[in-house]
Amino acid sequence: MNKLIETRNLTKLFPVRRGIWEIITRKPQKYVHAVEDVNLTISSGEIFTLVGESGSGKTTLGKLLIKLIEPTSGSIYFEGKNLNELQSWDDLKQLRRKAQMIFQDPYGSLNPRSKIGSGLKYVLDLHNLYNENERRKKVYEILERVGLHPAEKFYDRYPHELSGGQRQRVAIARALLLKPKFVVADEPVAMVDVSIRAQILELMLELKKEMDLTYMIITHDLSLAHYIADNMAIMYLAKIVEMGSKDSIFKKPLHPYTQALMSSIPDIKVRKKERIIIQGEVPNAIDPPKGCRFHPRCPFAFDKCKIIEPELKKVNDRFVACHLY
Amino acid sequence: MTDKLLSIRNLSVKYKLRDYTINALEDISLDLNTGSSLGVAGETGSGKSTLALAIMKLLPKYAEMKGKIIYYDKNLLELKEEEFRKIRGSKISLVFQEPSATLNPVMSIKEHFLELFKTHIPEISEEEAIERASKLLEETGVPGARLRDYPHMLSGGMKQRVSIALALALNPDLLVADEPTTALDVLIEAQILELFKKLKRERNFTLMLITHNLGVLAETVEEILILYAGKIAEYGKIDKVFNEPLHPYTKLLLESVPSIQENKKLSYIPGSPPDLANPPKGCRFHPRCPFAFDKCKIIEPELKKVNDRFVACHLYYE
Repeated sequence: MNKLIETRNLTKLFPVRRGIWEIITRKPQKYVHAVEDVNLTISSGEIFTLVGESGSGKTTLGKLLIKLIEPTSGSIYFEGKNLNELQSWDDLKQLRRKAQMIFQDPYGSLNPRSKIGSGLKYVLDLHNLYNENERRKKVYEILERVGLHPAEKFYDRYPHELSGGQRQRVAIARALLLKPKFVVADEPVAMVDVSIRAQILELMLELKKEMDLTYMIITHDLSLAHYIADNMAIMYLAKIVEMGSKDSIFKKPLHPYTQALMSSIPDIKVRKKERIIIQGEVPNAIDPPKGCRFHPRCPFAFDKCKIIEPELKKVNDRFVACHLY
Repeated sequence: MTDKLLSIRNLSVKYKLRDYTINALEDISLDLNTGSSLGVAGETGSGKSTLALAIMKLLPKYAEMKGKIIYYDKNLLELKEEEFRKIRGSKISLVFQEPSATLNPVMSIKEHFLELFKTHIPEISEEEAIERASKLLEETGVPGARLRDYPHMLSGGMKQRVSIALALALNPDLLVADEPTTALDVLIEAQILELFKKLKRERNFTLMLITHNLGVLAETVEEILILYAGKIAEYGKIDKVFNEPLHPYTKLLLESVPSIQENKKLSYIPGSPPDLANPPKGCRFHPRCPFAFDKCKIIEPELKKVNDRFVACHLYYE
């Protein structure tokens, strides 16, 4: 399989706003460490799943990959091209035709004042594809394809007239309208009801097959990753702690954080649960702990973990960032 | 262990809006024994939260309630607000989904406890109240020193621990928890679930846990009640219901949840939940049910005892 996306030491820091007092006293500028030193490869045709808790930087990483935000340092190669070099409006437009995003919140991602149809048609208007009549036809086609029929009826509806599941279908339609190669889906089913979730996932899988898509799916839900992923990465406080094929990670998670996550998922098949309870909460991303970022909560931490930050290293069939290995 | 704490009989809740009426709950009957734990599962709009609010008598004015909620021989629906206020928060208390919404942002944690104690136990001294508050906090895993903090200084998990401490402050018989872990991350969710189990062992209150997350219920409760579109679809011991679901909705719902224990294609429920202003005739699930036959479209199935549980489905009547 050929590489579609590759990142090198990708880092994104968000400056923290300083108050007047901090400016006067010349306190150093602080940063929220959202993504740090991420090296990953996504091959065409795979489903790469990024798992992490809130605040781990998974959404920021997703946005970086399709250049919705600029990295602080490091680079992203999309089909071998360095995205840092794309600067002009036209370059960016070319990229948008290849890389799209589906957002988590279908209530926030659709403009409440524009009809479903005109919102979708706007995408084609912007990219100046087809003529007026064809555009409408294309929108009908995609609406039907994502299961919103009759398309003529949905074309003239407003987002508030649709249910959460239907809205998410519109969001999928919008992302796929330009026939992209790569789609980042940020928690695509987190906001829809349980009975609808499987419908949306199946739709995404069907469309992947039909349109030869590559997905990066961002989720906090390991059972979703287990269902859908080919390869996966687990993030903790801006860093990837474990990365590899889904099968190997689920068979034997190596990083203590991954192990804890796996033992924590509530599962309908397990009545009495033996779980690894991790004390405390995710530390502040402005001032991440020294050494391994997980060490204050890690049940296996030893001295080295407090001082030296482990690198992401190849261990057998995967990558792990932990001194235990 | 078999004494009844709370019985609900034929409870119906209607939201009377200007142009239409929403049938949020219809004909709900259930029994809670002292010390038991009941999980209420259902999708958005199935009436889960309405049920919690009805028990707490916190429904808005335009809600019309029928039926009975019997708590120790008293019908809560007939109690006057002043009388019920003595029960709410002390004998029956509620933990909400969103801890930030439970806690008042301009009151310190200490003030929350003081207000609660002073309302229900007027003769309590401030020192005693504070002492009890810090004990409660420690019991729920929050350092006692955090009493001085304001809600914004605590993380989501901490806030939820504080709201659990507040709910348990007066030793309630019944704790109703409405999606208590939905707003939290997985690891914190695990901590809170363990906390619930620990507190329940130690204090032996009755727990009613409302959630859409079937996995959470699998490990925390003994009995489960599945709501669909405001009605009970299935009600029984959770082992039985999860191992051998009878109602088609329960069956499909369980099959649409991914599990890391197995590699199976998910099945899904076609369509979406009905509009409760205008629910379908007959069985409310029939438009989405793969087993529906003619009768289902006309006659609404009653909740009937089938072996070890209650099911509302025509498939199981002779």
